[in-house]
Amino acid sequence: STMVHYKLYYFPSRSVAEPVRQMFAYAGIEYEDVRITKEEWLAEWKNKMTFDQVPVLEVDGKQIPQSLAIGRFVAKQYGFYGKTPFEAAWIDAIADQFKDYWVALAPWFYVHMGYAEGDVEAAKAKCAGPARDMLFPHLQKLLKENKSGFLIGDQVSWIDFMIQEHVTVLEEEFPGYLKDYPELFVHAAKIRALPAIKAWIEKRPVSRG
Amino acid sequence: IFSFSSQKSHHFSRLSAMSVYKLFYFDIRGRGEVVRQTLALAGIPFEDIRLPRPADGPQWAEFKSKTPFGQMPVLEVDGKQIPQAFAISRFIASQHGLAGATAFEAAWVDAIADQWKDFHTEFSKFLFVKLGFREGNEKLLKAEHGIPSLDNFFPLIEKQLKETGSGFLVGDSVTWVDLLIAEAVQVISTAEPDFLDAFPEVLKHEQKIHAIPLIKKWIENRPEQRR
Repeated sequence: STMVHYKLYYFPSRSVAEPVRQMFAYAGIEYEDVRITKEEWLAEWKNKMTFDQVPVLEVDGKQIPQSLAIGRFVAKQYGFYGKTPFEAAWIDAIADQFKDYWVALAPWFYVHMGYAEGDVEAAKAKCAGPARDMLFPHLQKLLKENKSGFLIGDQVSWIDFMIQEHVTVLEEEFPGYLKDYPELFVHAAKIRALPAIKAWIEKRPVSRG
Repeated sequence: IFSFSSQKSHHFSRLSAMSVYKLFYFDIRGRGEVVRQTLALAGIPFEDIRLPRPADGPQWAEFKSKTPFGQMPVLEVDGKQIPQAFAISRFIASQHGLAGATAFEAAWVDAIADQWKDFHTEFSKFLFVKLGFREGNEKLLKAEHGIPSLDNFFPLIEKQLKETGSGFLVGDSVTWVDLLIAEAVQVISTAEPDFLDAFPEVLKHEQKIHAIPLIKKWIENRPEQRR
């Protein structure tokens, strides 16, 4: 059978594209890792992307928008989506809980990173605790209950890559934020140490987040 | 244990071979409605358990710690819980031919659902004030959040409907995202009758989806319709 040709379009950062890049790395799948600068985006790319957004995954020339839709598509293709419909539903639920958490965290995160104007201390006071409470107690419980060391089931899945990437950013940008959730650091280290992921981390372009 | 209303759906049949489904949500449409409609369209009998809102009683406070993420809706399947409305809807839909005919179509169902969620995050800043759920400057929020988010989202849906030409959002048969969007259109049109007039395909889609016999029957019999 002919191989599928993949192009992943995103900005020159990890963020919501990184779980997809990590799944491709782990599964040994070749793809074009297209990184678009802000200037290139407005000048050339925005109106070529369905929904005027990135990330987009192009699959034999046909586009899929939205990072979670892309992640789930790749996860299903290459065995990162659990072994049963119930496991898949829990993988989806964690992905969506992460998205909800992200919406709650974003006001602080964006100001901290310099993407938006604002009072970083005021944003932190408002957002940091409530956002964390939406997600990390639940992930901690899953990790405590699952002997495999993965979040769901007994093999690495899409959301292991997703959570590990974000915890890595939190370690870099907000040390101390997850001090009550050491299991998340153990998990992140485990995923980063998977040979294919370790190799990818060593060769990938460097970015802040 | 709790006193809250619960009703069995109308498609009860032989129980022995079938899983037992219980859906827990508040006694509103909200995030639960797409799940209820997906279950109805799949022909799955389920217990539609509706908790009073926190202001109206202690039931949610007691039940909250028994849910996986401290939120609802939660689907219980043979006693095992699944949280998050889209995860639940997709779990049901993908086992009943309601999640797209191919992996690529399923990705587009998911993409439209998430694009709606991003729209709703913005739009609800206006809508929830308009509907009286929160305080705020309705006119200002409509101008700053309501109209811009509407103008970003619904052209995409209008274009998608023109491209599929099937009357459905993805491929040539109904999927759970058709239910999600049609419900959203009904909510918006009820709150602001002219708001979607620039999107005739979107309005036609809502009519078509809500005329599907199992959905029509669900809507006619749901508690909100009888209030």
